[in-house]
Amino acid sequence: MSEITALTEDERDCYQEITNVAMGQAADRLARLLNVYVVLPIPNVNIIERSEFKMTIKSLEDAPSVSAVCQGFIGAGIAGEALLIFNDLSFSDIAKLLDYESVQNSNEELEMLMDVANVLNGACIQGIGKQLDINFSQSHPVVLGQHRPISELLDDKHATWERTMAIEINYTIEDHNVNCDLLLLFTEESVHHMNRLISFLLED
Amino acid sequence: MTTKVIICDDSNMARKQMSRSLPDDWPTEITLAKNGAEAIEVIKKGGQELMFLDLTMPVMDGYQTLEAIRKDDLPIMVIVVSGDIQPEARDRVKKLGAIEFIKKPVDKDKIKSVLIEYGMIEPPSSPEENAGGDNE
Amino acid sequence: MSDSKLEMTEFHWLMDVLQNIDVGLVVLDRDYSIKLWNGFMENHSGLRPDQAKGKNLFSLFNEIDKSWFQKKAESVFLLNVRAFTISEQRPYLFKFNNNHPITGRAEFMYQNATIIPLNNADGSTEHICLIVYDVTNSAMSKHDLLGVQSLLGSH
Repeated sequence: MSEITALTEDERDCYQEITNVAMGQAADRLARLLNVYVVLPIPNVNIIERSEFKMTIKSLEDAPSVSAVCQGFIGAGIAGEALLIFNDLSFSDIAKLLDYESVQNSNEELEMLMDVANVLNGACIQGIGKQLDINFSQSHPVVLGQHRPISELLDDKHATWERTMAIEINYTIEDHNVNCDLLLLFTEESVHHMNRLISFLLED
Repeated sequence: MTTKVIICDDSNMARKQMSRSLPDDWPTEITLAKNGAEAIEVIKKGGQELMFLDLTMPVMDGYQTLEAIRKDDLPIMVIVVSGDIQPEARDRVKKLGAIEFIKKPVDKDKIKSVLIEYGMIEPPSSPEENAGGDNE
Repeated sequence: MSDSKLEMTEFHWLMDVLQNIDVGLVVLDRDYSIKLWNGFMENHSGLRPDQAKGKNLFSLFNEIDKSWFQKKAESVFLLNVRAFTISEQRPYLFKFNNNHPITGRAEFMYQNATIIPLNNADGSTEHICLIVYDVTNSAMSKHDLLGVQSLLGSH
C-alpha cells in the first residue's frame, strides 16, 4: 500500500471541518455538565512521522507531569486512538467545576479524569462517526502514566508504525485554569479509507 | 427576485455543504467569504441581504464579525451556522444580533423553515398546490 | 404500555445492547456457518453482517485451527456444556489488530472466548454462540510480570 506523506488542502480542510463539528458536540456536553463556556479553536490536522510525534508529545508536557486517558476506536476500516492529555495543574480547577469537594487522593483524581474523558473522547469519536455514517466501537479507557512522563509510551523497541494522521484539539475553559489537549490519532491504513469516504463530501 | 447571499466560512467543504443545503428553487446570487474580514468588505459594497456565518474562523471570527456589523450598523441579516453548539455560544450570537443559530451539519429542512419564518422565501400556499410546483 | 408493546421495546433494547456491546458475538450452526455477527465483530474484522452471515467460519478466518476449534465446539453441541479458550493456550481466535494501534505495544488483540450452547425448544443444540473477549491488557501485564520475574532470576 502506498505511503501517505501528506494530505491535500481539500482533504485537510475536510478533516478540520468534520472535527470542528464533532468538537462542538463534545464541548456542548462538557459545557452543560460543568456549566461553563468552552473555547474552541480550529483543530490542527497533519500527517506526522513517528519521530515528530515524539516531539509533539514532549512539547505538550508543559509541567513536569501530565496525565492522559487513552481510548481506542475502530469501525469500517478506520482505527485509531483518542489521547486526552491533561496538565496536572488543571486538576484542582476541574475538581471545583465538577463539584468535587477536594481531590485528596489519586482515586478521586482518577474519577475526575474519567468523567471528563468520557465526555470529550466519546462525543468526539461518535461525532466523527456520525458524519461518516460509522458506528465506532470504543475500547475501555486506559489511564496512561498518572503523574509519569507520557513520552515513556514511545520507546522505539516496540515501534509498530511509521506515520499517523494526528488531529489536535485544544480545549480551554473560559475563566478557569483548565486546559487539555485531545489528540485523535489515525493509522496510516485508516487514512486511505477515510480519504475515500470524504471524497463524496468534496465533490461539487 | 434574486436574493444576494453571503456564505462566510473558512472551510471550503463547509461552504459547499451550505450551498447545497439552500432550497433548490430559491433564486440567489451567492458570494463566498473565507473569514469575517472578507465578508465585511463585501457587505460594505452594498446590496447583500443575508449572510450565513461560521463562528470559528481565522483573521476575524464570527463573534468579531457580528460586533463589527453592529458597530457600523451594516444592513444585513445574519444566520450563524456553526459546530459550536454549546448553550452560551447560542446566547452570545443572539445578543450580538444574529437572527438565528443553526447547528452543523446543516439540515436542509431546517434552513428552509428558517427562511420561511423570516420571510426570505414564500411558504408553500397549501399542501395540494405545493405538490404541483412553486409559485415563486 | 400494553404487555406486547413492552416486550417489543425490551426486544429492541436487547438488540441494541447486542449490537453495541464490547465483546464479539458470533452464532454458528452445525456446519459452522455464521448466523449472527455483531457490531464488535464487524468493526474489528472489517466484514459487514451481510458479508459474514451464511459463510463458513473457517473459510473466512483461516487463522482459526479448524480441528482444535471443532473439538471444543463439538463438546458444546453434544454435551450441552460451555467451553472456554484462554489467551494462554492460544493468543487469539480471530487475528484482530490491537485496540491501541498507536500507543499500544501488542502486535494483535489477545482474546479469551466462551462457547455456549443455544438450545431448541426440545432441548437439542443446533446452534452455538461464540463470545470473544479482548484481554490484551491483562495479557500484556502478565508478559511484563514474567519479564520482571526472569530478570530477577525468580521462577
